[in-house]
Amino acid sequence: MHPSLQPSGEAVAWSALGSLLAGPIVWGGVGFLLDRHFGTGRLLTAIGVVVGSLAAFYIVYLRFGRDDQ
Amino acid sequence: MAEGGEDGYDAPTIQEFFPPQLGDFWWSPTRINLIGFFMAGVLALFFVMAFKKPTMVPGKLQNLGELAVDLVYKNVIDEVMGTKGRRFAPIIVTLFWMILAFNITGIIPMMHIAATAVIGVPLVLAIVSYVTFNYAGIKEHGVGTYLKLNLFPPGVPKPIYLLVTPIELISTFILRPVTLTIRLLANMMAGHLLLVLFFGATSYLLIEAEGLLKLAAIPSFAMGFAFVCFELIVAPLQAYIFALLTAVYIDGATSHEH
Repeated sequence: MHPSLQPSGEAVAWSALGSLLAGPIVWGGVGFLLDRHFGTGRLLTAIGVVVGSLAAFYIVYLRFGRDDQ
Repeated sequence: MAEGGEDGYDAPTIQEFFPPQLGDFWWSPTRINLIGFFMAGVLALFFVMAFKKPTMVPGKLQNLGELAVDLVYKNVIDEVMGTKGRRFAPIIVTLFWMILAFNITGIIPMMHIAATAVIGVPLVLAIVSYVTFNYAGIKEHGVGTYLKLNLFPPGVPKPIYLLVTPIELISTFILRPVTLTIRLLANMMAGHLLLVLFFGATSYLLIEAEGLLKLAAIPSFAMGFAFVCFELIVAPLQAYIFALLTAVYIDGATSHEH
């Protein structure tokens, strides 16, 4: 975002959405594949979705939420 | 179109978006293709006429053309990138007005379907946006730095990159064009289906239904009308979001701060 400008709400929201979707998709997908490999039901998928979501929130915080930006 | 038959009301289906080709050749266009060609022609003609012989004191058409360009300058480009973003104006202004022109056909009588309601158009526009922001980023930073800036956000403890980098890879290089395509496509498809649903039901209730059931045509028509008004808002809104996101992506790709 241009440093001198106030980022528009829509722009931030739509940009953040990509990361928020990608987090659970990527790590939930990894968990799903591991579940199939180890035969652990849905456990690793669930852990992947939660970890992926947390990492996605962290990315959104890094990109848009820090006070020093 | 949905219509009432002997077996009752036929709800609209996905077939709405796959009309037959108007001809026997493999390249024969469909009705929706023709709507797209027509609107692209109208738009091109408007801008060519408006800026064919620009003068210091603009005439009516040039005034309108300048207003159309200024609208995107002020509300999209300047807001996101500042005046340095104006070098990307041709592509962002074109995207905005093209999408708006293609969307608005959904509520223009005789056309009645948005040219963006079939996947080809939003997909190609998303690819244009994708190529533009990646090209701009690579040109600004070089391939290595561009990838590093996008995949390794600064200020993150190194082990956390293992968790964060795959997410950045998917969200920046795969999900962006996918979400651009689906957002526009789904909005225009859903709008069209709702209009067909309500006006098809109005026609069925009025002509086929018996007794007091005919009265249900009134609220059905009212809902149809309400959704026409809603589409009048959705058409420019979706064009604005697409243009705005393209500007945001270009700005993110060319920015030295991440």
